[in-house]
Amino acid sequence: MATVQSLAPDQLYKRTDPDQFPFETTAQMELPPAIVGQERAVAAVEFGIGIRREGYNIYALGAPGTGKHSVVRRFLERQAREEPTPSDWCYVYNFQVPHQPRALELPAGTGVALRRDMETLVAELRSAIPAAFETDEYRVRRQAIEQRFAQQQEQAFDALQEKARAQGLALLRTPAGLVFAPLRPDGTVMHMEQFQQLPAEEQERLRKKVEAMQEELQKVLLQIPRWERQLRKELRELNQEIAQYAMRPLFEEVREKYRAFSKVLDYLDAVYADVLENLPEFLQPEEPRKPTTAPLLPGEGQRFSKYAVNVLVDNSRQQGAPVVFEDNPSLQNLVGRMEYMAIMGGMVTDFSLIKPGALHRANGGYLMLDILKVLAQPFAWEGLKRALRSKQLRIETPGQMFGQVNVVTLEPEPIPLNVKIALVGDRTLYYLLSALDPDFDDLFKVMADFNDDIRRTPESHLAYARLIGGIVRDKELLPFHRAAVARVVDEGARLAADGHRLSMQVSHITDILQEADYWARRKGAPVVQREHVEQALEAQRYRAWRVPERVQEVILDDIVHIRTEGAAVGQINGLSVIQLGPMAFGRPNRITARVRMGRGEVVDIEREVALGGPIHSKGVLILSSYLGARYATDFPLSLQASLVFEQSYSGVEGDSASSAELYALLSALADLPIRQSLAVTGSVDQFGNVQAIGGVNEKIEGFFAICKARGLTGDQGVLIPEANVRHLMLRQEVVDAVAQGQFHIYPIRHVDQGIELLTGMPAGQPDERGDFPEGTVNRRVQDRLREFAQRRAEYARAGQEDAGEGEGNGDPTRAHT
Amino acid sequence: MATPPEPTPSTPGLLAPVERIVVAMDASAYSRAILRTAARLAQALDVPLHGIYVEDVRLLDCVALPFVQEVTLSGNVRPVTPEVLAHEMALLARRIQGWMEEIAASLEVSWSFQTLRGQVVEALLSLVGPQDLLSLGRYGMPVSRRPTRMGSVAQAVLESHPGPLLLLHRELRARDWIVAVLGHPEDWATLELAERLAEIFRGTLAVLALEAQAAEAARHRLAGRRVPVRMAASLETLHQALYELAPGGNGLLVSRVCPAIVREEEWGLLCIP
Repeated sequence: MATVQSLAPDQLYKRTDPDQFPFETTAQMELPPAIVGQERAVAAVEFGIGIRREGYNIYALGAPGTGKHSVVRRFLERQAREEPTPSDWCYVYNFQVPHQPRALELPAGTGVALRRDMETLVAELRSAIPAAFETDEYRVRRQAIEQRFAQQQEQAFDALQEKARAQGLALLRTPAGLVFAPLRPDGTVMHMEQFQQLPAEEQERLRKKVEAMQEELQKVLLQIPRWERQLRKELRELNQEIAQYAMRPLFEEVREKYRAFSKVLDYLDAVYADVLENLPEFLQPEEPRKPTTAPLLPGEGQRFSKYAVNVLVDNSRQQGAPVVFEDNPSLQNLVGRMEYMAIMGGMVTDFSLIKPGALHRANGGYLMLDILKVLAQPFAWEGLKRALRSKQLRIETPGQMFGQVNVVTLEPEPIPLNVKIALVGDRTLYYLLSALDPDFDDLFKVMADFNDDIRRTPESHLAYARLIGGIVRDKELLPFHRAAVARVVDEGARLAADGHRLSMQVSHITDILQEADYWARRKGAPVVQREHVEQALEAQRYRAWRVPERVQEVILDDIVHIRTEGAAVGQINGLSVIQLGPMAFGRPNRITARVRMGRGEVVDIEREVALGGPIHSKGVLILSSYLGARYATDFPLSLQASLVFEQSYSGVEGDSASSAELYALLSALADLPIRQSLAVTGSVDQFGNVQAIGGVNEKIEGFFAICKARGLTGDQGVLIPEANVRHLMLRQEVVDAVAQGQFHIYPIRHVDQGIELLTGMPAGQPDERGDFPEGTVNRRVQDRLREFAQRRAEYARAGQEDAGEGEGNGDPTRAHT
Repeated sequence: MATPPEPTPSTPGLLAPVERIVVAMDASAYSRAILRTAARLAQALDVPLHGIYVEDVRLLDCVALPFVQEVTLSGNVRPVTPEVLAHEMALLARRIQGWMEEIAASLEVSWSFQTLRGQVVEALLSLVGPQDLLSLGRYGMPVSRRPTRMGSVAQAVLESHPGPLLLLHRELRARDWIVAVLGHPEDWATLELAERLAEIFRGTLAVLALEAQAAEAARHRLAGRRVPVRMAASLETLHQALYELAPGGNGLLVSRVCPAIVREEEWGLLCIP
């Protein structure tokens, strides 16, 4: 029997030698902080920034905390500084189509100037126009026009009255009009009786005269509206002439300032025309609004607001291109929004209530977004893609986007969009979007894939130290002694779950550094030492260790049965890892196996009750294959076995327990007890090879904690896949226990090695016929399986093929024992 | 230069002899504005307000003729009988009374209203005496929207009414000019009345003297106050002087020489007998 050797202490923890660092403390590091181990991602970001083609937006993907944000931002900001400052953008009133505000592009800083100039212009117009209308010239000319008009009317009436008088008629005013009254020679109005006394011819003559005059009167009266129109026209022309005299120099001053911007000049022309059309607005005194809680009425207090300039994007303080990070990328925060005011029970808006989004602020530069946040916001992803596809910024409410608008709203003129987007997110979302969103690959052509970890070499140690030094400097922490740096590097390997790699989860490393600084400062140390790093790590663990402790307690209290000594048939200690937020811990699980005659199935009870995941089920199915191929090549595998994670009330996933399950099965079949002082982890293939698993450190430490609490016997240990030895970065207390021979870690390559350790019996190798030698575990297993096959054949011959396989037939194994 | 005469003490409550203010009204928008001015004056003087509407008997006689039809201001022709016209006049009277009630109540002025039937001028003059301040529209019931010429009723009343007469074509507003037209040097009653009116209506007081001595006396009397004083050498130059005093503006002329200045068409007139 070839004995597997327990690992030596130096195989359990790959220690970083502080002496390799060419500094005493990080304060002596002169090298600038480097971006460590992200050459591929950096090249991608540089390429994404440099290429100016449609769709070459960047998606930075990688595990959380790998520094994607800071790396992308750093490169974007470096590039942005070299680029020109983009334009200001303003929205102004559209005098032709009021619901479509016009967008004005102006050089950086000019938007605010235009707003100020328009405010000044309106203020000056409000004093200059009334002043122009106060002049004697205006009064005299207005009076002249009005008098001419009045005289025109009076002359018409005078002529009519004169004509009537000549014909013996008087023009009299009634409440609603005018009548012609025949007069008597004494000048009084003729009565009916007097009229009737007139000869018939005279009566007829009088009637005709009155009717003729009535017709003439009608003609005069019908002239009056035309004269009125003419009067209004003349007065309007006079008003405009007078007003223009005041307006022209004021407008010319502004026009001169913006003469290079044709759209602004067009806008000023429109303002000019509108002021001329609305002169009465400028002639009314502004009455201060009394303090009141009543709502503002439409138009109240905002007579001149249509001449305002809404500076949507003000780049007056921007130097170079902008780099914007939008932390709350809702649709409105991205593409802008229109605010509404409740007035008299209705919702109203105007161009001054248009608010910019992050795309506006980043236009001409760069916008960073967290893809998860974008996808979590309704319509935001669609809005972002629409803007990128159309290369226009169109402010729309979700209702407008989907044609469900029920309030009066605006359609602001779209603004041309020229922005580079940098999305930051995890890999899963990247691949999902790439697979499911047909637009994604076209719009985000640059993948910047950030490494989760890097290979551990002397060079990378030094680079990692520089990374640490950079963080220490940026966060203004106490200098770290090189021993402390080495300990942080070790922790980087532990985080990577690989003694030969270093984690790139910069955020976690930063936490450790900051916490070590805290403990050092509490002790008044000028330099952070290794012990402070240790203390920080222990404190982190302690804070997060309530649940693991509770799990250990229920084991130690024998509520959950885990044996750490003695031996048992069909029972083994498996190991699992539980992830609680950022913290993972290992715990032992009692796995049991029972066997009986059957149709060659291994029943995964976890799967039967829907507590087992697919990978776990796969692992169990592999066991059937292994058993059949190894032990029953020339007879039917007539086994019915059941496997269970005892006292497990939540789901089981992963195949890392498959080797443990196989050992339990072999123990049950061979009727050989397994050492309960050992725990096992590792998956197994169809040939019995033990394969690497994850979380090996936590698993070992989880079992070690239970053994230690019960007292280390020197017989306890863990069987791990040989391939996982490189991943070992165990806690010092485990390393120490191994060094003292109180605990053992066994690297296993094949299940035969494991079963020998667990049972103390040789596994046995098959001969040319496939039979195993007597006195070996495998022989016992093979014999048992052959026995099941023979019995099953007997049952079949007796016509009881299904006997012992139906529900409620008890345990056939026991029945046949 | 002659020393201006010492001002005589002002007559306290010049308008005290006024026992009531009578407002002759018709259906025009001017009437309502004039009513408001008269009511404010009645309030200031603490005298009652009396409204009159005269149903013109000539109209009733005229429309009785079979061929006489009314031409409305919009140019349409409609037949009107005496009954229809009487009904419309009654409605109008009720509306005018409603205005009075509303305006008098708002100013807390005691008021009465009366409808008469007859010749308008005769009816009015038969009702008012020297202690009545008679107020009526300067332009009568205008046909055009911008009449400039004094109405026939106003003209007739101006010549015949023995008491004070207020002829207006719009409501007096704050900052309107209140111009005392002084026909002789010691016409302090006119000046004081103008001062009082300026106070009541928050108007801007000015003086237009028809004699040099009157101008000098007024300047002396108003020394230290920022009251413009102008002189019109003759009635012919009065218009120019008024323009120089208040270019483009208008308001109320207060004068004892009203018949001489009626050509100032844009201005209201308060004629003191």
